[in-house]
Amino acid sequence: MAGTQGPPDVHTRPIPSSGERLPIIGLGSWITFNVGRDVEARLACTEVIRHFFARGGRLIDSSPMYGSSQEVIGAALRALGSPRGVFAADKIWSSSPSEGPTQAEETRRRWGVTRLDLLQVHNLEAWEAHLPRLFEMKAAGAIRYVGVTTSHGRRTSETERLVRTQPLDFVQVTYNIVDRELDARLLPLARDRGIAVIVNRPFQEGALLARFARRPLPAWAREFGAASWPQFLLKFVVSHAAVTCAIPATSQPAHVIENMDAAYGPLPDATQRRRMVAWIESS
Amino acid sequence: MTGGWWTYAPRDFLMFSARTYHRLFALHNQALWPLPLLTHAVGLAALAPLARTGARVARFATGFLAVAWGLVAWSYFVRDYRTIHTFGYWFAAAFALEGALLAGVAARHPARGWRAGSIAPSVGPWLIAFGMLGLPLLGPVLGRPWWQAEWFGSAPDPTVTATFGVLLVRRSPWWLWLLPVVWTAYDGITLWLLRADDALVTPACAALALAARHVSARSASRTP
Repeated sequence: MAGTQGPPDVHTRPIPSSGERLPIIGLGSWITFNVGRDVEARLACTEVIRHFFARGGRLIDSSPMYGSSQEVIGAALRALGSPRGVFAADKIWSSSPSEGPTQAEETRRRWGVTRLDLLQVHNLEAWEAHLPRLFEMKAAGAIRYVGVTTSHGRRTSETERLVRTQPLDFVQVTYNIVDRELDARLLPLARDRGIAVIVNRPFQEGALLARFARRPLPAWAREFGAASWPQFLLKFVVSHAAVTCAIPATSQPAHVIENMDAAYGPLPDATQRRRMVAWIESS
Repeated sequence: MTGGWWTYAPRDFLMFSARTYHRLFALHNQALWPLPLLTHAVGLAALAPLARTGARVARFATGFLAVAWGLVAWSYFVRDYRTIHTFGYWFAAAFALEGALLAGVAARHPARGWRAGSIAPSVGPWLIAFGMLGLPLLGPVLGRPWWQAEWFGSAPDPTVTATFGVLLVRRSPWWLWLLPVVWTAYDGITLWLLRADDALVTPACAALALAARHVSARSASRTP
């Protein structure tokens, strides 16, 4: 599914292991795309994905753990004529070593793609069994990249160990302007090891947006092109040198447009990032 | 998924938004209408006599509850809930099992009443009334559309709450309480994670029912 589309001025970052560039804003699907058979909600999800591609997005992330999300994404992609640029990122979520390949094939079928671009071990679940199989699948050309995921700061030391010892292409972690524990070790380590970083929960599951919703955006946020709180928070995440892309999730077309706008214009530099953190911590 | 389970928190298993959850009841009612209203009306007719005659008609009511649990297992969990929850079939199996247990009790065990003065036969009808009349109105009272209302015999919460009432009236074995109590705990956590205003309602009903059972059982055990 390699290829590019969308406006040429969208910020991209290279996947270190291949040099292929990805837009710095992707699309998550946890909770937001699990809408079952709800036709109206499925149409809204299709609109979200349509706007995501129209604004230059590529990477969509899902998991077998996310209920109907994979099917909803697959239906949306079919409705949109199977866009060429989609970067299909999904996961293996099973404690059974033998279930991995079957689950991967079921996931590919639900997406309706010829092959998945990235398969990650969900929350390091039985990684000892799954990772060797994923590397075999990559070598055979069944997938293009291999990764592991964690969230909410769980199993950080184990993730660090895998980043240090395994030939991963991607690692997915939780990182946002409040949860910055990974600044100290894991993010620099991933950068040194040439491993792409996907960031989940950039809004702390919406808690950060709720916390600041009624507060005016600092005037200096305009200096790095942030016109809203989602853009402020996303630009903080993706301006980290080790981060390849962030994957905010939404079921609202207006929100995905707003999120994608964070992939354009200036990004905060190191001084501005420190100012952002100081402002948030004093609020 | 079993390995590394200790690293998961309750919020990790919240798979859907509040909007998706409540719209599921609208889609459920729409697809099956008028079955939800029918099961509710028949349920009212079947369980209402318990308030007057107590355990004497409990055998019939328990048998009817068995059918209601089976209907919820199929119509709600298999048909709809599993489309938004990975473990939907497990819930369906649990509800079908409780239906089978209720059917077995209705068929083999004559209904036993409580000694005079016990509070269980008094609390039971109130819980039945709340499950049948209060819970379907609760959503609309809290601002949700009436077509998302939850009905006895097709949605879990009214069915489970009315079941607590019947279990109290007929002095039921402890193992019939297990699955309803586990469901209300799960339901309360789910609604709490969804920040729903009515998150504590069904757990409160379960707590009231358990307390009434405990007090009545202690009172019975002290009788010479």
